[in-house]
Amino acid sequence: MNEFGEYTLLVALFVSVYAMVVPLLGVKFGSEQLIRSGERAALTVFALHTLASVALLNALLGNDFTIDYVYSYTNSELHWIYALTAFWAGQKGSLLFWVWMLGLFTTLVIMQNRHRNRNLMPFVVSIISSVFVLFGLLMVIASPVFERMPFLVKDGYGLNPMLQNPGMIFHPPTLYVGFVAFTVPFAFAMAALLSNRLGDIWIRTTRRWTIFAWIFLTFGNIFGANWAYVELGWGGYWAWDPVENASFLPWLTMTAYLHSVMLQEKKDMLKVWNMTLVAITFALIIFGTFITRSGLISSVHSFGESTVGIYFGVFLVLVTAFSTYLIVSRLPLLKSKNELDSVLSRESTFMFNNLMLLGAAFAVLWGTMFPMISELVRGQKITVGPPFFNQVMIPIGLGLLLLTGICPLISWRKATWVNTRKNFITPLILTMIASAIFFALGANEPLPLFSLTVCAFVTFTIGTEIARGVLARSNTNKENFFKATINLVLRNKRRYGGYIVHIGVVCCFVGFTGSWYNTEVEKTVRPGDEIHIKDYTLTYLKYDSTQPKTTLSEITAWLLVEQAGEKLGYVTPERNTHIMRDWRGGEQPQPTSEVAIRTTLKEDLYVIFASLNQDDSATFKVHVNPLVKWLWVGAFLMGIGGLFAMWPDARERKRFLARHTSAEPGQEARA
Amino acid sequence: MNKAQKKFLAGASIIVLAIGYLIFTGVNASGSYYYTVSEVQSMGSKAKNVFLRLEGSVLPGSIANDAANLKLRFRIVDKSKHSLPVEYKGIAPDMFQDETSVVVEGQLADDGTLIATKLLTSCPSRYDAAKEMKEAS
Repeated sequence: MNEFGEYTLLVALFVSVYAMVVPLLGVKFGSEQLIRSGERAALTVFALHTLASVALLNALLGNDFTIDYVYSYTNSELHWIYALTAFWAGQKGSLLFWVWMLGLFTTLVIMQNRHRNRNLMPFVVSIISSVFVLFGLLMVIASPVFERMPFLVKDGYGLNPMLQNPGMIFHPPTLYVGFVAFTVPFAFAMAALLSNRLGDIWIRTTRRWTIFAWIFLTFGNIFGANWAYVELGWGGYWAWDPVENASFLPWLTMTAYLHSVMLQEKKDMLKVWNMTLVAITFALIIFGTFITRSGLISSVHSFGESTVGIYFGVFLVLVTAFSTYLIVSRLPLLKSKNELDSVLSRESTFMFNNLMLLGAAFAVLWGTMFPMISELVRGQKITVGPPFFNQVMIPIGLGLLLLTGICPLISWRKATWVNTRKNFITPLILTMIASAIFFALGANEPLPLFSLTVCAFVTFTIGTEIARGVLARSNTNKENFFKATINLVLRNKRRYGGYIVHIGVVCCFVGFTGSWYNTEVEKTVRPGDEIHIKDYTLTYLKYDSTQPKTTLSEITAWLLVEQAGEKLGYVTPERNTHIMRDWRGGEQPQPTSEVAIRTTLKEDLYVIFASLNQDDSATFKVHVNPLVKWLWVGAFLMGIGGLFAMWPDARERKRFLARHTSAEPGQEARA
Repeated sequence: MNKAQKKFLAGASIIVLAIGYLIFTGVNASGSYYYTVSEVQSMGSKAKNVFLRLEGSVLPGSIANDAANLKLRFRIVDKSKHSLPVEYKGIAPDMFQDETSVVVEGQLADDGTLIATKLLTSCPSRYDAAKEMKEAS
C-alpha cells in the first residue's frame, strides 16, 4: 500500500502542474477546450488525493507499522476513532488532509461554475492549483507521509495522550476547513484582478465561501480554546501563545472583510481595501502555517521544526509579491464610485470597525513577532506575554463591541443628530437599568462593570432594532407579532443572521468578563480534609487506581462538593499515565491530568488533581471561573448566525440577478 | 477629499495613535528578556531587577518537590552545562520530569535563585522514529 500512496501523490503533483499551467494557456490561445482540460486536471488531482487518503486511512486503521507515520501516531490499543484522527494529528498527515479538503472545495467550485464565471474560472483553477503544487512538493519531497520504517516493529509508539480527547477530533479539521475554504475567495479575487473584471461578481460568487470559511475558523479557534480548557488543565482557555495567535490573526482580518465587503456591494466603496483585505487574510493563513511549522517562534505547541516551514515561507513571499503587484497595477480600475458622505453614518461605523479589527490584528502580530523584532532592532530577544495582549486587546475589543451596538442606530449614508438621538434613547435607558442591576449583583469594579454594560447596550440596540421592524411589519401586514418576527427575519437572512452573530459576540464578551473574577486555591490534603473556595467546600475522600489498558493506568480522586452547606455531588479528577513504547521496547511514561469541571451558566468549578504524593497526601488545584460557559454558548450562536446568513435566499438572488443584468455589463465593458 | 473624509481621517488617526500607544507601553510593561543560563551568570548583579526568560532543561536528579508547601525546586541546565537553581511556587506541569525542556520566567533573588512566576514545559520535540533508527543502524 505504501508504494501505491507514494506513486499516487507523485502523479498528483504532475497533474497539479498541468492544472496550474494549462488554463492560462487556454486564456492565451482563446481555447475553451484547454480551460476545460485544466478543470478536469484539477478534478483528477482531487481523485488522486482521495485515493492517497484512503490508502493512509487504511494503513492507520489496519495498524500497518511499516509506515513511519502510522508507527509514530498510533498503536494497536488505540481506539479506531483516534486512529482515524491520527490522519491530521501529525504534520505529514495534516498536509494530505489539507490538500484533500482543498480538492473537495475546488470540485464544488468547478461544478458550480460550469456555465458561470467562465472568464474568471481559468485563473481561479490556476491559482488554486498553485496551492496543489506547493502541497504536492511538500508531500513528495519534504514531508512524505508514506515514508517507510527502516525495519519491522511489533507495535506503534502511540498517539500523544493529550491528543486523545474529543476536542482534538474537531479542532484541527475545523480550523483547516476555515483556512482552506478561504483559498476560494482569494482565488476569485486574484482572478478578478487578472481578468480585469472588477465588478462585484467575484464578491457575490464568493460571499458564501467567505462566511463558510469564517464559521469554521470561528469554531476552529473555539474548539481549540475548549480543548485547552478541558485537557491542558491550567484553568484557562487562551494564553496568547504564538500558535493560537496564528489562527486568530486571519480570523480578525476575515471578520473585517465580511463587514467592509458590504460597503462595496451596497455602496460601491472600498474596492481597493477589500482586495487588500482578501490578500492579507490569505497571506496571514500562510504566515500562520509558516511560523508554526518553521520553529521561527518558540511556542508551547510543538510541531517539530522541519524544512516544511521554508516552503511556506517562500510561498508567503510569492503570494505577497503577486497580490501586491496585481492590486497596484489595477489601481486605476479599482476606483470606487462613491465616497463617504458623512461621518455620522453607518458606513463610517463599518470603516471604524475595520480600522479597529486591523489594529487588533497588527497588535497581535506585533506581540507574536516581538522576539524577532526586538532581536533585529535592539539585538536582544524580548518576549511579551499575556499582560501585553490584555492591555492592548481589551480596549480594542470593548471599542469594537461598543461599535456593534452603535451601528444599527445610525442610518446609512447620512444620519441626522436628531434622528440618531431618538434611536439612542430607549436602549440607553434600558442599559442604565441593566448596569445598575449588574452592580448590585457584584460587578463592582470599573472594567468588568463597563464591559457588561456595553454587552447590555448591544443587546438592547439589536433588540429595539428588531422590535421596530416587527412592529412596523405587523402594522402594515396585519400579522401577529410571532408571524411578523418570523417573516421579518426570514426575509432578510443576511441582516438578521448578522444580528444573531452579534448576540453571540456579546455572550462571548460576557464570558471574557467573567475571567476578571477568577479565583484559585492550591492545597495538599489527606482523606477527610476540606478545601474551601468561595462558597464551595470540597472534601477529599479517597482515590482509586485502575489499569484499563496495558499502556494506561488511571488514578481517580473522589471529592465531595458542597455549596453553602448544600450537597452538590462528587467530582472525580484523574491523574493518568500513558505508557509510550518505542521500537526498542523502551517505555516512557507520559502523565496527564484529567480535570473535573462542574459547569453552570454562573460559574465553573474546575478541579485539577495535581499530584499524589509519597506520604499518601494529594495535591489539588481548584479554580472557580465565573461565566465561562457563556463563551461556548456565544460561539455556538455565532456559528448559527453565520449559517443563517449564508443560507440560500431566493429574494436575494432575484435582487442580484436584477442588478447583475442591468449594471454589470456596463462595468465589464469598462474593464 | 471631502469634509466627511477629513473628519473620518481625524477619528481614524486618534484610534491609530491610541492603539500605537497601547502597544508601545504594553511592550515596556510586560517584556521579559531571553537569556541563557551562562549569560545570566556572567551578567552578575546586572541580571537582578530584570524580568528574565530562560530556556533549558531540568537537571536530572535536581527536582525537590515540597508538596505540603507547594514549592518546587530544581536546577535548569543549558546546552553548555551551566545550571541555575529555580524555585517555583505552584504545581509542576504534567510533563515535568528530569530532562524535560522547560521555559521559566521570573527574577533573580539575592542568593542567585531564580524565583519563577511561570513554568512551561514544551513537549519533547516530535518523536522521530525513522531518523533515530537510521542513526542507530
